[in-house]
Amino acid sequence: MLDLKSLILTVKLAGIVTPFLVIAVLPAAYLISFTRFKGQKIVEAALNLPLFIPPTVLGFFLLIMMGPDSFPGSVYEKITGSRLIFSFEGLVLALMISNIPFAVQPVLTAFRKLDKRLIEASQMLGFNRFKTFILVVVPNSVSGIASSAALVFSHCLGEFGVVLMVGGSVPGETKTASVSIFESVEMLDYSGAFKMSFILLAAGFFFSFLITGVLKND
Amino acid sequence: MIEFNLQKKIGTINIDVKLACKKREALSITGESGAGKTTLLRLAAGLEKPDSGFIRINGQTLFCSREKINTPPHKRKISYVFQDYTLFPHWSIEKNILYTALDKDLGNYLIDHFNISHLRKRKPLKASGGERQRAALAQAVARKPDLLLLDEPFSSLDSKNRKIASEYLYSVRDIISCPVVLVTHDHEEALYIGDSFCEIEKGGIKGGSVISKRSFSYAFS
Repeated sequence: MLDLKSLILTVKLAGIVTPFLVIAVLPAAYLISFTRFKGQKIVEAALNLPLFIPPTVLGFFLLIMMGPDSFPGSVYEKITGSRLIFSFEGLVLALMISNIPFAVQPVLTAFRKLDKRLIEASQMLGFNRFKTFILVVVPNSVSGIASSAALVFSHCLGEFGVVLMVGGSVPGETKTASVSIFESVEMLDYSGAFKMSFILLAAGFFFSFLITGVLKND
Repeated sequence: MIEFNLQKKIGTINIDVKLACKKREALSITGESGAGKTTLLRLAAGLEKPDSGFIRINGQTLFCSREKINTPPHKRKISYVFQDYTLFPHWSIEKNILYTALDKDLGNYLIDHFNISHLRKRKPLKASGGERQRAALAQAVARKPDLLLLDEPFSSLDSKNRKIASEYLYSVRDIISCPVVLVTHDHEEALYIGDSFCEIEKGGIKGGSVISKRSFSYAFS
């Protein structure tokens, strides 16, 4: 059986994580690309860290960090009255952290490819760093930013390890499409698993085509 | 008036130049490739930091190694026309010129005067090289800067378009009230635009000082 509820929840999750994360990484990518500061390589390595550790390991650390005994978890609970782990909001936060490298890398590549003379021309027109970033860097890196968004969105659709560790499987709250597929297979509901998998496969192909076929030619 | 006395070591070249240029005057700087002409303009603009020396415009110090003053480029009120790529590719030519124009009427006048009014809504990459450089000049002049730096602005153009662009620049000399420093390897262009001249050789001024139009014309005739 097609688990429409999980599918809608997954799209909602990806739809929230993507814009927030992409906007959040833009200033960080700008600072890394156009300025020099102490510990720059360490910051870049830290941003790429989720790429180099198993999702379950990342999920485990996030579970500890967001738990009710942790500082962020207890502050959140005091403010909202509810727990961060096994909640939709917790899942949003966890996916934002686990997807940082997928958001940062295309933007960094786009910023680094940008002709430095544009930045100098902007400075000579009296634009400070912020104006240069908003008026010159971002508009000339649209395809890189769109690639970043497509990559984050498609990763959110398929994320499993982190989701299971931090969110568990609360129907309508944290049970995403990939968790639903896993449970369908466990219950030997291959037909339901196939339908869900096919939808994610089609979505994956769409985003892959968008990034390689459309955005790279831009 | 601009006065600068700048020193910087780049590789094997030691830039060591002392120059001054009054308001409404144009100083043409010539010299071989790699002599340090462009570096000199970049130092004046603040795009590169001198090792020592000072830059003063209208009595205001923009850089002074002794007093540790180094005004960032965006606060210097200097217009800089590069060899190419001054205009933003994502903006129309009109927006490129008017967005930073201190005097919008002057910007509109320059668009008409430089014969690019038919390109107002067009993106720079859809215009010819000559039209782009005229637009870049209009952008630079409309900002009413304290100093106008021109770094071989027409070198990427063919001889016909270079002459046209030079004539357009000459035609707005009355409008430009600030000092103009033109770097070019074209002696004819230097003579046409400049009031005073100097040749940069291995980072320094050949002969030690600027020369008059007559001396320059005689030297290269």
